Amino acid sequence: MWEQFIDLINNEVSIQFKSGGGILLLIVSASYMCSLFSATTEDQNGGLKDIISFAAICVLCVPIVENIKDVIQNATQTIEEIRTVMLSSIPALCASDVGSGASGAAVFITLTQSAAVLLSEIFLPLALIYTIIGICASVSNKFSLDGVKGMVKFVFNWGLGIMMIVFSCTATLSGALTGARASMASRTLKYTGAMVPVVGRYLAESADMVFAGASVIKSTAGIAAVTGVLSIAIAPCVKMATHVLVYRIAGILIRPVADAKISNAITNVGDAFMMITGITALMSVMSILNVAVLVTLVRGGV
Amino acid sequence: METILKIALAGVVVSMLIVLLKGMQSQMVPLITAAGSVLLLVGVLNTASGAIESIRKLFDNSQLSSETVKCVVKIIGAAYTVEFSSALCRDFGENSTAAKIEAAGRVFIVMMAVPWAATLIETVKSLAG
Repeated sequence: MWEQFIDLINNEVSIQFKSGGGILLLIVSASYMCSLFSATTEDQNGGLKDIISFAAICVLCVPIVENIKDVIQNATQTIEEIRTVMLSSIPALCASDVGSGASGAAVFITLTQSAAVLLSEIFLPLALIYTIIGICASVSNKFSLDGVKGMVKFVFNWGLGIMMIVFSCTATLSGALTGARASMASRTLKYTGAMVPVVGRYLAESADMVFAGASVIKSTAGIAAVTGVLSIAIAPCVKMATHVLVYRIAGILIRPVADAKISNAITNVGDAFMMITGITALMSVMSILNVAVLVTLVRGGV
Repeated sequence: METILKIALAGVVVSMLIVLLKGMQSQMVPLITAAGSVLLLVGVLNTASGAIESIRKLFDNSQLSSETVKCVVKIIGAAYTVEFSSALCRDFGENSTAAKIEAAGRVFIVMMAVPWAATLIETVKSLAG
């Protein structure tokens, strides 16, 4: 089973790198051609250099935005499938005693479903808006959109943070996920989880809950639900992470020589892909925690 | 190395001819300037043709549409053409003609980018819709 899992990830990464390689090649070659023109012409053609940068950004952004469109549709579909798995697993999870834990379970189900709606209807469009503003801001120095871009990112980060706080507080108050140990694995997850883009801080803080939740998912129904969530989320997350890597590599390769406008546009696109990847990863983690809470609340009646 | 030596020597010889002809037959100077510039440009293009062919093969093997690359190459080519022509006009003392060539070049490059900008806006609208 592990071999199949690793084969799946390898296949997905190689497919995405093949398609991403074309875009990487386009970005690098276009940037180098523009910088070659800037280096070999005189300053009196300053206006021509700005026009070339504008035209290059317009041409480059078409395949990039098509890429973003595919990834956003993929992320929306993944979130919807995770929601469906969560809803369809409720009867199995509640198959045994439905005691006093049913009300707490209902709160959690509502919370996770609401989070899924918020992520797909608000945060994904925010990531798209951030990309568009970032591309427009890099087109010209004549107008500045950095303030708007900063505000969108601020709303995005704070919105995700508040959502995680509400989720964590509800999980803590329910008492379902307790008995966390300060084990080596827990500390490792706290340290490495912070490296995950966008949502790493929140995932690291919820490391205790993750390990407490893992210890209660012992029932067949719980494992099946978690397996369902992971099987849906792994391939899209790997695909999005590969896109992030491609655009980060492109940004690194063109930064020494490219025009600042093109370099900033590619950096903003890379940030947007990280935001979308973070949203999908967060939805997966919240769903897994939801399974753990449901199992505890329904079976234990806490 | 031999190619760059040939180009450099050709440039020096053209400049010497121009200096010599300025005193004797000044009406030949613009012709010699234009011919020398074209000669140098052809030399550079011949040198770059090998690299361009390698890049074309790389893009043929990738999954990306060739239209995007062709457009970028056309834009850069147009920019170089405008720069070359306007520099030649300035050498002849025709600054206003050079400025008009540059203006025409800017308009041409923007017109080439407009369809792509329209496609970009349509894609964003389809995402928002």
